[in-house]
Amino acid sequence: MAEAKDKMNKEENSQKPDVNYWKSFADLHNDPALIEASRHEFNEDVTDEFDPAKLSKFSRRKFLALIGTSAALAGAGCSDYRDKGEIVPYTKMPEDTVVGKPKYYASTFNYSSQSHGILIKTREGRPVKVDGNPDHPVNKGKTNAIVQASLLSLYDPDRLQYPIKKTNSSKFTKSTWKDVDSEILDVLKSNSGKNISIITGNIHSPTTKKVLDDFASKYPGTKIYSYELFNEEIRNSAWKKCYGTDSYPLIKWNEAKVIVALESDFLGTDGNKVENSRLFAEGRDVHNAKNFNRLYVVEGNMSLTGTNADYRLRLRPDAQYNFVMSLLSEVSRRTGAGVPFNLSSFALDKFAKAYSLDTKKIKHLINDLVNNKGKSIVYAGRTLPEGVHIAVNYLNEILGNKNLYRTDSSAFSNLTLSSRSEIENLVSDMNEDKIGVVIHFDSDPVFQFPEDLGYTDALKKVSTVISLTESINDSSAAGNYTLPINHAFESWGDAKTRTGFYSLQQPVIAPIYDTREKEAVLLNWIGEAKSDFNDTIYHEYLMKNWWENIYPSLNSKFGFKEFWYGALHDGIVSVSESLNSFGSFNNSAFSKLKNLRANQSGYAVILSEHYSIGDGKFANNGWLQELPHPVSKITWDNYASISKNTAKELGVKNNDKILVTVGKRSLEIPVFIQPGCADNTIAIETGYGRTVVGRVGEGTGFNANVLFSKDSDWLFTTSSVKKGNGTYQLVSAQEHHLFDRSPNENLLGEREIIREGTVKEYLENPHFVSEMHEEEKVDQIYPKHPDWFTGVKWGMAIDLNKCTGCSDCVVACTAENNNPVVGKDQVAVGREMQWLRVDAYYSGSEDDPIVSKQVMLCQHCDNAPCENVCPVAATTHSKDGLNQMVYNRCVGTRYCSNNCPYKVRRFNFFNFRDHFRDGFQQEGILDLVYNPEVTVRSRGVMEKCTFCIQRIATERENAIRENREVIGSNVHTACQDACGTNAIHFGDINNKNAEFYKYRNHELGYYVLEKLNVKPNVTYLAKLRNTHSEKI
Amino acid sequence: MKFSNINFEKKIERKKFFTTVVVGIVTYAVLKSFPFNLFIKKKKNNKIENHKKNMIKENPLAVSRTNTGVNNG
Repeated sequence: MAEAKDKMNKEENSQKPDVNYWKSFADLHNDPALIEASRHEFNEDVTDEFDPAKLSKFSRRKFLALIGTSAALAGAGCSDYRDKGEIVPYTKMPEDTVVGKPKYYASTFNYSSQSHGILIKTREGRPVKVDGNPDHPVNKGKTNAIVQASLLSLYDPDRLQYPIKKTNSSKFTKSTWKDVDSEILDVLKSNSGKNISIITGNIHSPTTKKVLDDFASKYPGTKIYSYELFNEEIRNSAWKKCYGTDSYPLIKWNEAKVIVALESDFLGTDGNKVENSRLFAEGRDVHNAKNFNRLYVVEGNMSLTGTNADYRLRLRPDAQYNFVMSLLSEVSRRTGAGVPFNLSSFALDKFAKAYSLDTKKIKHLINDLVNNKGKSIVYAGRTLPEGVHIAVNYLNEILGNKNLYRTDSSAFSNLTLSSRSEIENLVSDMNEDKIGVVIHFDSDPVFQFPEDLGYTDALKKVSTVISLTESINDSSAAGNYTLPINHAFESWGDAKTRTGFYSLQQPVIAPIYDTREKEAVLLNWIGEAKSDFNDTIYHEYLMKNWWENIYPSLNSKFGFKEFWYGALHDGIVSVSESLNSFGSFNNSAFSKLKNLRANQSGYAVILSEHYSIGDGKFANNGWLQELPHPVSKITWDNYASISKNTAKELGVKNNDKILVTVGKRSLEIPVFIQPGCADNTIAIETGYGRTVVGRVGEGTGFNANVLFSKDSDWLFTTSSVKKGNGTYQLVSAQEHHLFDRSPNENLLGEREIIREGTVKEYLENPHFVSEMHEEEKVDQIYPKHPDWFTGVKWGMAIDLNKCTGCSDCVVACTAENNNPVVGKDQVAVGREMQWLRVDAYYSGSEDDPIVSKQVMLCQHCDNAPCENVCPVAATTHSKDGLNQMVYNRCVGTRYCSNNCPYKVRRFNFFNFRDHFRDGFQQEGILDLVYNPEVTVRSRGVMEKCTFCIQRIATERENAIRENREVIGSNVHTACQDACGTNAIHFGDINNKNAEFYKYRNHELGYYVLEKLNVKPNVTYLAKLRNTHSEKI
Repeated sequence: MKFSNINFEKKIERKKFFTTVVVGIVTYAVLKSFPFNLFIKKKKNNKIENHKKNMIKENPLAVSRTNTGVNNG
């Protein structure tokens, strides 16, 4: 009887209706054009440039005759192949340097409000890769895409190479440091009683703060203004009103059983993404499925966090306040918690009905919050108004969720950000001619300040405007002097953004151009440039500050020098600091919300930070521009995300422009219909549309900063939107590299591309994934490779429960493997060269879909279909399981790519280094960015993921030298190192004792397209959603 | 064997081809010799000058580490 039941269950499982997965609306509705496109290896436009009819009529004989002459001339012009210039080894090799062996340096990379501990890998003195510092308590060895791509910014040909100053003709001309120092000092000394203003971003370094203070002491009348386009001020202000302490505490995401994110992309741009992702993923361990956390996301636009939700609710952002109050009303009723005022007007069921929210999900949310008191967290996004944050703090208070606030460490600020009124006072002082000098201290207020603040116009009234910046920007163009500063990898520094430790920064390369550290520039002016500029001025100042002010409090056992070198080696210095504990909740803060009501009319417009471009600082970075957006997969531009219903209302489709008007400010921007976006919500990311930027960032996107106002933040509730004029092509990689399919085929369900279930299903039947496997496979033509794979066999396992789809791995792979940037026009025809891609599949309803992410790379199949079809044996299989690519044999038939079922091969249609932006990537300086361990491929050659064979080769060399076997766990691929959640595992399949073995052979493991019997060596662990039912 | 079909034009074109090849070889030899080889050497020097502009210099005061830690192989 039991056996029969078992058999029935298995049959049922194998026959149960598959979930319908789709990649876009066109895919969902079986658009014939898309189906046809998916059948072709390359887009229709790919060969447009080649037209045989246009070839000239030229006889073969004439051609050969000319060839003979030109060959002779070419031979005369050729130099001796041996004589490429002098290559000599070190005549005085630095200590500890072995040519060909990398060196690692701990340092820090700061941007926006974040500070990242990094480990810079250098080869022969130049940085070639950046990863996280494993000793850094926040990063713990991981970084994000922006930090990975900072390497390219170091070698950016558009970096300023020398000081420039504006002449009378309003054009900038080359100058020298001596001249500009002399002129600026004259101005600083004889300022006619006017003030000096320094505009800076977040100050991460206590020593930089000291430099600014010393400058202010030297030049009285100096005032420092600090701002960040996206900041935590609203959250902190609300916290202060509720609990009396300055900054919102850090959250123990790893201990939360239930997480409710309200318009908060905490896995993306809201807060420290690296730390948040790591801690969140700790609650998604397949080896401890009983303790999976549960994520609820309530948001307007689909965010990265939203794509990872177990339950997601669409809600326009300006309704969040009413939603939180409704939650409070229901929770207080269920728990009997008293509230300062009557919340009956915020009935949750009425709210859910009014906003068409799924009542079942709401019920689960309330039950989970009430049943997990003290183990849940409700977290509001930083772009929401203060009232929402106060209400959320109160909700957490009555739920007893204070346990999840960290008491061991908190955010630390070296300089409080300037308030809105302070910035307004600055502008009015500028207008009243009270400011003689403005110094933009590595900041770009002209681009980022709201237009109605009038900063740009006021700046024209200031006689001397100095910009200290790495490359030109809107603020430098508006000034008189633009002084180039060092990149982070060329700079000394320290950072303190958390209590409990300091982080140190050291230069690993001398300044490539004639640049200076920004602190050194100020120090030189403090010292009145009386002596010749000393490169070590800031280094000495930094050491002195530490020796006098920080080292004495550490009670170190070592002398200062030993301590200092040890600190530089480790990259961090731990200090014991006690935190001020926050007291009890101040009920009056909540009581003041009594009469507050959020009104919605028209459209809600919300501005947020772009995942890779940030606030615009990285607009000239090709790796970040070409990185597909983690949700929409759009590259090279920003856009307005709207829902399908809103698009219908406005009468627009993808790429049509809309005119968004907020008060007197308006912006025309193309739309992208984003599945999962709430109706009447327009979501736009900033950072694009810079008018003064290098060649890479030129002409990309639309400047959404024009919508900001000095009186409002990021959310606008009284906005009007209508169809604009014309269209603009947005390029999305979402429909690129599609798997082959027939019409009406449930590709993903039936062909085992996505396999997922629920935690409940897994706990009841741990083998449910293996029961889904197709038993019938295609016959194998070739016999098994004899005697192969008996030693080390390389494989990879990707845990889809931990993978958030952030795409940091994509940039890490690009940096490690010298992948070229191809540009928007080439991405449009599907020629992006990234070896990794993160496929996103939607399922469920069009309006409120569930998203499944899958990292796709070369599967290194044992029965690789690409290997059999290469006419020149350019792609072969190694004895340790790698599908190898021999670039110099490849003649470019592209048959291998045609045969690859996973569509992971990339062809160099051009020498992209020559093709992109008129040879931008062939500028001499960019030669330095290449990893010398990896071949730089040229035109006509196929390439793909190699499982970082250069790292495997390093391990082999080490094993030979140390006379031991190769150890699989010693090899980490670039993507594995970058993955903040440790979703990627790599190692030796044959080593049963390795940690990797547990993932490779996990019961949730499956292979993509297993039926084809190509025997891939990448195992995917099926995603488990922690829902209340067995069904997704 | 009849030779009436021999195309005399083809004979002339073949002559031109070999003439071109010989001219090419002689040109090559001339360009490789003095004084023409001087121009070629100057061009080579320019490449070296460009590379010198991007000279890399390690910072001698930076402290490296051999232990890359748990996560960085």
